[in-house]
Amino acid sequence: MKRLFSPSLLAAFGSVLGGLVLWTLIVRSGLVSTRFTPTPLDILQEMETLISQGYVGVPLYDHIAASLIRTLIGFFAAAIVGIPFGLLIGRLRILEAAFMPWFAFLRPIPAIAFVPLVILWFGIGEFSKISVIFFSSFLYITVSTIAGVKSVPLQILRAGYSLGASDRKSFLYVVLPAALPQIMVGLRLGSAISWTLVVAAELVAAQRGLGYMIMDASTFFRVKDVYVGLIVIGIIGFLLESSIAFVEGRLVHWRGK
Amino acid sequence: MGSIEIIGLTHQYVGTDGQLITAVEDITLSVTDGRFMSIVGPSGCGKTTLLNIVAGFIATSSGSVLIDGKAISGPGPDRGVVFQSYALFDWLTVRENIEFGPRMAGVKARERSKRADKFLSMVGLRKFANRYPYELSGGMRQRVAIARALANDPEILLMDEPFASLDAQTRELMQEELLKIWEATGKTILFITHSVDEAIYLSTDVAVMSYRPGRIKQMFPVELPYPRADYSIRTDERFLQLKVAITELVREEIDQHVEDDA
Repeated sequence: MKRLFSPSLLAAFGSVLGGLVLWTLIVRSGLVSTRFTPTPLDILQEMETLISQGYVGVPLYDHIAASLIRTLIGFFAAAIVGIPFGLLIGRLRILEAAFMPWFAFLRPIPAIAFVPLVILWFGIGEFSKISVIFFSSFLYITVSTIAGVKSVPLQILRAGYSLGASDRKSFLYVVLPAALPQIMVGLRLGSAISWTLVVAAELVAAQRGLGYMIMDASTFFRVKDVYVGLIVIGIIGFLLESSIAFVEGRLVHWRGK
Repeated sequence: MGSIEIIGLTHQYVGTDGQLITAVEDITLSVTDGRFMSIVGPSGCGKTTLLNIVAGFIATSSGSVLIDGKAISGPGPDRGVVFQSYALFDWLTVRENIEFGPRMAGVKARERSKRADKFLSMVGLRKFANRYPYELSGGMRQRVAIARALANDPEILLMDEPFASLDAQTRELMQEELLKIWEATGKTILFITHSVDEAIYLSTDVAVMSYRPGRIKQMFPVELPYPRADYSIRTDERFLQLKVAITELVREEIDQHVEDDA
């Protein structure tokens, strides 16, 4: 039986509460300028205002929706293309040899560094933001999928064949499920990178979205709105990751057991 | 039907240091229908390689493996394989694992389920049909693996040290169960082990292999009556004599190997 208030739960709550109190005390004491650092309560109030009145006439939900839609389109497109691509490459050594140099070179480049180039190519419209998200989460999802296919234990493959599986069936009923844990890791990384990127891309060029909102707020010294934006970005990022982790837990129940 | 014939089998491979290693050399062995043959030998004698070749997992350098007179061309459902590491499909339930072979063969769901029931009962896992492998103990997992191999109704079972990672008690229990299954089904079994005791207890024939390159050093028929599901057989005079003779032979190989390495 778990206790209702376990020590770790208390530690987590205590830490958050303590941090907020400390933050308030520092701001109230005048050690830092209230101009750039509002108290948590001020931020909470501002959040209410943003929710009810929007940011400079645009509802907060519009900004959230703009960012989320870009992220989800880019991410799902990357998953739809990246998973089959990774399965194929992981299966065929010759394809792997052909593609690996590209992945090895492209993946370490922070995707945000591509934004200026992509803007030159495609302008500042939706397509450029979505394509950056697509491209970088595609790399993560594909590489993880390849790793998943290659990490299927030899004995498991042999078991499948000796039970009468053809190459095609072995791929469908043995390799694919055995690679699923790694594929899910790729999706989790991909979603995290997608969310990071959408905000970054919006900082550079956008008229809607949370990244645009905090950039604009900072330009016009609407400091509290910058904080609200950050918090909303954090909450949504957390929700995105948790929902993938939830699906992962359901889908690959055997992992780590 | 279900005879294994191994003729002049040699297997060589290139080791990590680039040297050509002869794993098994000139092995000729026949396991006729319904026999239970164990292969014992020191670690590294190539007994697992031999089983992998018969299973069709690795191609031979020279020589041939015939199943009922026909040369093999890769793994197939005519030879059920049981691995030391169980090699169960973690994403499938116990029942689904057992049904895997019939499913690959395109057997209809109702018939599959009937077959799974039969083998679940045979290995005593009816209550665990809907569990996942990771929820089971080592002994239970190996039962699932045996049932899974049997579900295709192969005439031949190839078992690669299947009980080596089980504790001593579970191991003896599994040996007894395997004998019961063998007696009930009449399968031909090729069984790899490094336990002389296990080999004698189970088999109709024990083959001793030499250290690398692995050759068949000597064959021992085991003339103890079945059913042997009685532990007193392990203290039978004939059992002990055989155990001494085979152990000495295996020890010789191990000692020589130690000298080689020194």
